[in-house]
Parts: sequence; structure tokens; C-alpha cells
Amino acid sequence: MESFVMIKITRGLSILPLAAAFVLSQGCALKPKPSELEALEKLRATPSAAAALKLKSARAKKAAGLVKDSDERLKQAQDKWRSSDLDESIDAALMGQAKLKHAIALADQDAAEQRIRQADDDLNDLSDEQASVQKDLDAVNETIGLLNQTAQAKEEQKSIEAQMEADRKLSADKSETADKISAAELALKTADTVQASTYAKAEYTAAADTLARAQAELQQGNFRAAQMSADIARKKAEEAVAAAQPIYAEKTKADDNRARADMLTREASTIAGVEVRRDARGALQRIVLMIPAEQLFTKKQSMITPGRDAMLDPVATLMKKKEYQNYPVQIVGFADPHGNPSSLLPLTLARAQSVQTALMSRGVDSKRVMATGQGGAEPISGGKDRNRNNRIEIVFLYQ
Amino acid sequence: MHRYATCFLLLATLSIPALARAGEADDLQRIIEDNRQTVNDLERLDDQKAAGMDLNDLRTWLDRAWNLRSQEKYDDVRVITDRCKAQADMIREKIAAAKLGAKAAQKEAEVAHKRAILDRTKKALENARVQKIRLGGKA
Repeated sequence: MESFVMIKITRGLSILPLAAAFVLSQGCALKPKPSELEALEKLRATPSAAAALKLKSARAKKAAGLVKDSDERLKQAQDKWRSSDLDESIDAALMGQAKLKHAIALADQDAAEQRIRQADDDLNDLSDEQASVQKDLDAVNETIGLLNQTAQAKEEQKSIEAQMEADRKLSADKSETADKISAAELALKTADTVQASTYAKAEYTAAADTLARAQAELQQGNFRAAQMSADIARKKAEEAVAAAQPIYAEKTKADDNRARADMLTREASTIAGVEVRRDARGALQRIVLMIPAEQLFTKKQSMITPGRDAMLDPVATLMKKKEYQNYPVQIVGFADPHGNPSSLLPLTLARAQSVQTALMSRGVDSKRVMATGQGGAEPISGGKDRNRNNRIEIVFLYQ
Repeated sequence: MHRYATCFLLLATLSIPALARAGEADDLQRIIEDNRQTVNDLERLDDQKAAGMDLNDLRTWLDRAWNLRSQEKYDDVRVITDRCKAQADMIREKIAAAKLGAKAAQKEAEVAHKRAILDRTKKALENARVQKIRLGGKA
């Protein structure tokens, strides 16, 4: 029993400190740290808070004071927390936060101002550099502008020269075309002079049409085609000339001959004692000056009766005229066929030769004149007028 | 007469603390209302929205101070209003820092813009020099 009591006492003694410790531990147990205090501690550990102590501006003193206040509040909050006075710990922590954030805001202002100053410096530097680079750029651009102007001027010069060359070529083409057309026109006019439109109608028409086409092509500026057309027109015109010329020449000659013959006929008709007629034998045209034999000869004489040859003077004058010098002339003697034919032929020949001699003595070219006797051939009258058959015919021949 | 005077003095003596407490309540009310007006002003100033949470805290604390004042816990109210003043000072500087930060950012953007222009100009100069040489100009 005693031992039991002792045990009880011993147990009681051993449990007492434990109980006391338990009570104390319950009373002195550290309560959880307020979040406000934890936040303050974290904030204080940030680089921003450290930076607030390193300011070099006018804000440095104030910031340092705020950090110091904050640190005091932090310590107070920690003490209050440790002493389990949580409300005061929180109050102190919140005040400490306000002070520290205030200091950090001042540091931020400093940092921002530093950034602004740096930016201003950078802007100044950039402005200077920009001005310098811009100046260089302007100078280079000005040079480029001048080089471009020079290049442009060269290009324009080239263009002008090319245009001039083209104009010159065009002008040359135009001139050449005009020349060819002129040549074709000339050829066509030449063709007109030989009346090719009549005597070589196909060639002339082709030439005229082609020439018109060449002129139209010239108007259209199609010089190559115009030149070709003009060449063709000229060739056609030349062909027309070649074709028409012989015909025209012959026709002209015939016309000339006819006109000359008309004039000769008219002039011969004015000679007294001469009867004039015109006829044709085949292609040969004839102007016949008929002189009755009695005007030149006495009866059956073959020699011209002296004093009667004067009537041959105008005939010789006529024959010697320049216009009629090319006419071959026949002097033909005729007789009345009533008589001895064998004697008529020599008589008419002799009479013709007498007249030929008389005319030659008056300056008529002997080569032109041929004397023949026809005897009693080709009588022109009968009956009591048959004496007219005795006659001398001076025949101008032409075609 | 003497008895009336004694009563008056007694009443007066008893009413002094009550009057003093009433004056303190008014004083704290004025402080709290001034602080609320300050919150409104700071909110308007905070165009960068840099102190939104701090302003919320401040507003919450002022509401709490108002409640404590109603409970006539004037010492607690003083603690809170002192903290509110410190918070308002902090917010004011934070807003100023934010404005300066914005200005700095604007300036830095301007720097970046000018630097980009400068880079373009340098590139243009380089190209122009190449073009000049190509056109036959001297390097």
C-alpha cells in the first residue's frame, strides 16, 4: 500500500512537469505567421527593396527612411507574432508593407526617370546620327538624280537620233517612191505621146491602173508597195510605148505625108496650066501634076519648044521646096493611043526626059526624078478631046 | 445655491469625458471621410491602373476603421487611419512611378521608332550608294 502510494506520488511527480510543460506549450505555442507578415518579409527580400536603399537622387534619404521604418515595423510585427499578439503583428506588418512599397515606388520613380534620361540621350544621339545619315543619303540621291538625268538625256539623244534616222529613212523611202512614181508618170506621158492608150490599150491601161495604185500606196505611207507598183507601172508604160510607137510613128508619118500632100496639092493647083489630081495605086499615094503636051511641045516634037519651058519654073520651085524634097518624082510621058504604038513609047519617053532635063537644069536633084514613057497607055479622054491624052504627068509619090 | 453649484460641477465633471469622446469620434469621422475622398482622387489619378489592389486594401481598411469608430474603438481606428495615410502616400508615389514608367516606355518606344527610321535610312543610303555605282558614279 505504501509502495502503491509511493508509486502514485512518484507518478504524480513525474507527470506534473509534463502537464505543466503541456500547459505552457499550449499557452506559449507559436501561432501561424500572419500572411501580412510573410508578405512583408518576402517583399523585403526582393531586389526592388534592396534597390530602394541604393538611390542616388534626392529621393534617397526619404527612401532610406521609409525602408528603415519598414524594417522597424517588420521587427515589431515579428516580435508581436512571437508574442502571439497577432493583431498588432498584422497592423505592424501592414504598416511596414505600406512604408516599403512607398520606398519601392520612389525607387521605381528613380528608375523610370533614369530610363527617361537615357531615352532622351538616345533620342538626341539618334537625331544627330539620323541627320548625318540623312545628309549623306540626300547627297547620294542628288548624285543619283544627276546621273539619272544624264542617262535620261543620253536616252533621249539616242531616241532623237533614232527618230531622225527613221525620219531620214522615211524621207528617203518617200523620195525614192516619189521618184519611181515620177518615172512611171513620165513613162506614161511618153506613152501618151505615142497614143499608147489607143495603140497599146492593154499595156497602157495596166500601167495607168498600177500607177494609180502606187499613188494610193504612197498616200497610205506604204512606200515599199508603192515603189513596186511604180516600177511595174513604169515597165508597163514602157511596154505600151514599145508596142504603140511603131504604129504611132507610121500613123504620124502617114498623117504628115497626107498633110504635106494636101499642101503640095494646094500649091500645085496654083500653077497655071497644070491640072492636079490625086490617086492611089496600091499602098502608093500619088499627086499628079498633069501638063498638056501642047503647052511644052510642038506636034510630035520631043524637045521642049523654046519659050514654053517657063511654065516649068514654078514646078521646079515646088519640087525644090524643103517640105517636098523627099518625094520621089516620076515624070511620065503619055500620048494619044491613035497612032503608031511603036513610035508613041519612044516619043513619050523622050518628052519625059526633056522635062526631066529641064527640071534638073532648074536645080532639081536628079536622084529624085525618074522619067518614063507610057506611050498611049492610060488615056484620059476620047473623041475630040483626045488630044488631052498627050500629056506629061509629074507624079509625086508617097505612102 | 451651494447645492446647485455642487450638482452642476458634478454633472460637468461627469460629462467632460463624454464630450471628449464625442469630439474624437467627429475627428476620426472627418479623417476617415477625408481618406475616402483621397481614395476617389487617387483612383482618378491612377490612369495606368497601377494601384488597383492597394486602393482596394485602402478602401477595405477605411470601411473597417468606420466600423471600429462606430464601436467607439478609437485607438484601433487611429492605428488604421495612420496606416491608411501611409498607404495613400505610398499609392500616390506608386501612381507617380507608374506615370513616369509610362512616360519612359513612351520615350523608349520613340527611341525604337527613331532607331527603326535610322536603320531604314542607313539601308536606303546603302542601296543608294549601290545604285550610284551602278549608274557609273564613284563609290
